[in-house]
Amino acid sequence: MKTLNVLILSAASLLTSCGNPDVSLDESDYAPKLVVEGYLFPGTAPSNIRITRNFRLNKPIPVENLVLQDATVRLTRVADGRSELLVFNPEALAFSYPGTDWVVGFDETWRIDVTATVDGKALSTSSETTTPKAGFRLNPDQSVVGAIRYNEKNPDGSYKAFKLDFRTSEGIDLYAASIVALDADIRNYIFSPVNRYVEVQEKDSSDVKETLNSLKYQSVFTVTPLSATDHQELNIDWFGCAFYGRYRVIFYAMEKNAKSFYLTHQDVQDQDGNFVEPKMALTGDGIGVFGSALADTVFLEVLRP
Amino acid sequence: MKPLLTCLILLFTGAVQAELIPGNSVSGFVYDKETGEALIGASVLLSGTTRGTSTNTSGFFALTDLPEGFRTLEVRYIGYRPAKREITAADLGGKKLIFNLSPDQISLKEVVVTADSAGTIKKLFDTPVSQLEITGIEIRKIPQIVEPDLLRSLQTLPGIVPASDFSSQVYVRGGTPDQNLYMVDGTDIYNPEHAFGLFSTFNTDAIKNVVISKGGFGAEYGGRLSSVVDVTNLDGNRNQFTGTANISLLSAKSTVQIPLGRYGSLSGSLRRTYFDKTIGQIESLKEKVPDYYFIDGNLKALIDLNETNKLTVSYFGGRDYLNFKFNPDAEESDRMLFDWGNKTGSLKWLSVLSPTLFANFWLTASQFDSELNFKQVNFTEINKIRDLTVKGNLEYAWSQEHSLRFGFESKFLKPTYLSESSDVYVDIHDSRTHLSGYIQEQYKPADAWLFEAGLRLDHFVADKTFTDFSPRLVAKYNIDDLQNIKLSAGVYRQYIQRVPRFFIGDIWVTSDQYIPPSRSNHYILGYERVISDGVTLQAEVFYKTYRNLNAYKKFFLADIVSEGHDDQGRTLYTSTRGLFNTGNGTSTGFEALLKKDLGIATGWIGYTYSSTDYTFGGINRGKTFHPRHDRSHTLNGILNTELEKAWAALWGTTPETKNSRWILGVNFVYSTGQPITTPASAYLAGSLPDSGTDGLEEGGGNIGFSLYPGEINASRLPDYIRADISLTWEKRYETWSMAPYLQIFNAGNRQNVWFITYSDDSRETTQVSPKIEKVSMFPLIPTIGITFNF
Repeated sequence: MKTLNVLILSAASLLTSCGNPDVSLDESDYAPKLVVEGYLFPGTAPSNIRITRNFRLNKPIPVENLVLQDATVRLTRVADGRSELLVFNPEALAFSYPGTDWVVGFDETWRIDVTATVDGKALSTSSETTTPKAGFRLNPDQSVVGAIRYNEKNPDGSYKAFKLDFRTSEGIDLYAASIVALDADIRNYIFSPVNRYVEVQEKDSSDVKETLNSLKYQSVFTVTPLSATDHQELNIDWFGCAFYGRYRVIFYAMEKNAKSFYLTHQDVQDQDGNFVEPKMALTGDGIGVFGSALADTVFLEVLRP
Repeated sequence: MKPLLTCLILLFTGAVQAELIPGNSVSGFVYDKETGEALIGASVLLSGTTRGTSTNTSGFFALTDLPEGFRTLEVRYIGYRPAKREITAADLGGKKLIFNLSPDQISLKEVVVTADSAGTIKKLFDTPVSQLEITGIEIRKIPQIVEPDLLRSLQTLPGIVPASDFSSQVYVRGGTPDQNLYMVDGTDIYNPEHAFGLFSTFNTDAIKNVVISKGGFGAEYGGRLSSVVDVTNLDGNRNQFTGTANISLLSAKSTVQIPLGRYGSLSGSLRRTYFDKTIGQIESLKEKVPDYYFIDGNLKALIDLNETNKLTVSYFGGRDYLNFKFNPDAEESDRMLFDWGNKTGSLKWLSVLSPTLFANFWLTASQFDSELNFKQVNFTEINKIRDLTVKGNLEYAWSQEHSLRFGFESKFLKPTYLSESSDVYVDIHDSRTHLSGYIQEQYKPADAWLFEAGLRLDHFVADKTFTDFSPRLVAKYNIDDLQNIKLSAGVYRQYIQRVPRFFIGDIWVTSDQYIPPSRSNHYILGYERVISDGVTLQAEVFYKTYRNLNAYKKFFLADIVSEGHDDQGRTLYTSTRGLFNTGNGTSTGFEALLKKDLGIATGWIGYTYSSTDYTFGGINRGKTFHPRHDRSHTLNGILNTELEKAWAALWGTTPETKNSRWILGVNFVYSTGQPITTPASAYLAGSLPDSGTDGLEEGGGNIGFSLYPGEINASRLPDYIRADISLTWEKRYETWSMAPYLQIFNAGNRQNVWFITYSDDSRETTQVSPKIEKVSMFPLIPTIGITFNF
């Protein structure tokens, strides 16, 4: 009898170990959040601080109330305690200081406080950023910018590549360049083995069309020591250039809030597929970024061979 | 902490003040008669009483204060015939007694079943809290994938779970793999895994015995928070040349044991995989099977210096080679070369310094290193950890009531991590010294009671020095001849941390000014009962606390700080600052193990309920969450049976006696699915300040939808269920035997979910609907092979 029980148990274990279990998203996990997207630039008045909301997956995006124009957005300069309510600008869909008499300085700490109602729930968040110290600038003479022919070689036989040489700001260790292909078009796409790392692998224009936008907007970055140096380099290799034509490069020195957001907000899946939290410096119900940066702009051009 | 220290002080005070009862003592060794191997954990009893002791890992025993009129010693070991010996006056004078036990199962013709509940409960009582033993023979009986494996065998025991089919790393009672101390013949092993979870570093044919302590371990062990896996390899057959060879579709291995006359014995093994040359040549599998193999082997020599001194020399070496082509069809495709492996060596001197003082001294060296080369992106990486250790363990049988264990360990650690790319250079190389000492007193005031108190001192020298005391306490009570209860509490510390990798080659870093040492308190209550001959039940509840757990940051780049530039102008990193999130946690659980060692069907059923919670400042906004390895319920079942005997028992007939037998093995596992974090919502944002809505209507632009996760690990993957089957036909000839086998891993072909990914194909401007894609673990995998014993 015991033997029979053992055999039945063994057979049962086999039967229960079959199947193809289903997986679905648990939509009850949703919680409303305030999304802050704002950067302060020394030398300018506070502007273009966008306050939006998050929204549920697998449901229509609430386009009509995505931008929270009724939010209360208060900005405070910590050093002197001056505090102002920002005003919504319908054209920019963002909040700004309405005057020109309040300018952000270098190495200043600013605080933002936001309150708004989302899905009937009163939400609030706050954050502080300390603007970068002065110092960051491009060194045009040492940089390789302007126009280069695709696959153009140096006298020593190596391939030419764009290079930004710059002076760093003390205390800032992330420098990122936003690269926008101004002439991005299927006719200007560079069908090249260099692009084997991006999604377009075949010489097929339909593939290019599908990924046109992701190819048009690229960014590269470098991390440096925190101490100020006169010369640091950022190479823009050919992975960042998928098209012939002109490129606009805005080069940023990013303080820690902006740095964390840039490095983490889209990289929220581990190698094993599990989601992780992006690193965001907002308290309470807020997600997004309230940071500061210094910026410089250059233009590049990739010429046909 | 304070109650623990108070108890310790009381116990040691009692030990010192106890009046020693002068008397005779005997000591000696217990061996396997056929092979000459020392038998670990054999019960040595005064005949007709329950008084006695157990042999240690060298097969040594010592009994003191023997009563007047004492005449006979009896030795029992499950699976062996008991032995008795009349004790003479000469035996009491320091002469070493040698017991050679004969295995029960001399041939396949007859299986002599011997066990007695008194011997079994004695062995259970003597076994430390939360400690399990598993022999090489037991490991080889468990149905597994490709070949028997130690770490996968451990996963069949309660309280021990894997991360997935693709990893042989184990999580013990809520602890992470870096919290397990792996030792082979006294040498620490780092990263004891080959790739893809199929094989661990340990070749099971070379294993004599494995002791796993799941918690509450004694003061002789330190440096890890959760568990100890102490592997003793075969010393070698001292009587005759023997060997085993195994060949399957994926690997081949052989182990030989050679007697060295009166000088001792030698054993060695060699193993190599070659699935790149077998199933990798099948056209349909060419793209799926990586260009990978490993080779490993060990050598161990036991040398008898004299009756009371023995020397053991052992070496292990293994290397894995992976040549990964991104496009398998293109000869000129980009490729990544990755190789890694362990090397260890040890010299052990065993000495019986007096009839009541036994000592082991070691000189060991261990190294794990890996090298990654990805030329196309100018990236190379060297990851290495080396240690050199001198240590000694001494056991002093003081009196009938008291025995003492004490020892020291001096470990010199050198973790190194170098990586370089065109603009970043990482150079972290450290030298650390870890000195430790311990003392552990055992006090047995009556047959039914046993107390142990231990104290461990750790002194870790990095760029900051850490000195810590860790008390340990154990109380055991024999309720009656069939059952006992055990209680244990202790403090455990760890000064080395792991940076986990997805598959292989974890990086080790040590405590320093930025990474605090971790600490765990264990509280365990156990109950053990002999249900019938060969059937035992062990149940334990445990509670563990963790302080200063260090979890590797995925986004370490956002926090680490560069120290300057190297001579080539690259950004230089030389410290581990910012690499970890530090937090606390708890693990609570209940385990039950019903084990049957004798009879037609043998095996065990294990059940575990467990809950682990972490609280880290930088994770889940500081709220408590379950780590990925948390499993609420786990059920394991192992069955081994001889089919002819099972069939005969079913129909009430007598099985025919012959020189062959069919053996069926079943391994069943159920566990609650892993906790996972899922995306809970989406939002609109750009990565850089110049983001705008340009291109958004076409589904792109430099502003885009990003997913935001819900509560960390608040959801679960589907439950994990798997059944493995093995069928072996053993045929014995005069001087050799063979055993062809069929193993079916995941016989039900259940598509257990490894992880899920989300494609963004369905991101539109009207709604964000991530498409879920399941990635499954191993499907049904049959393996055939044959083993020869000679």
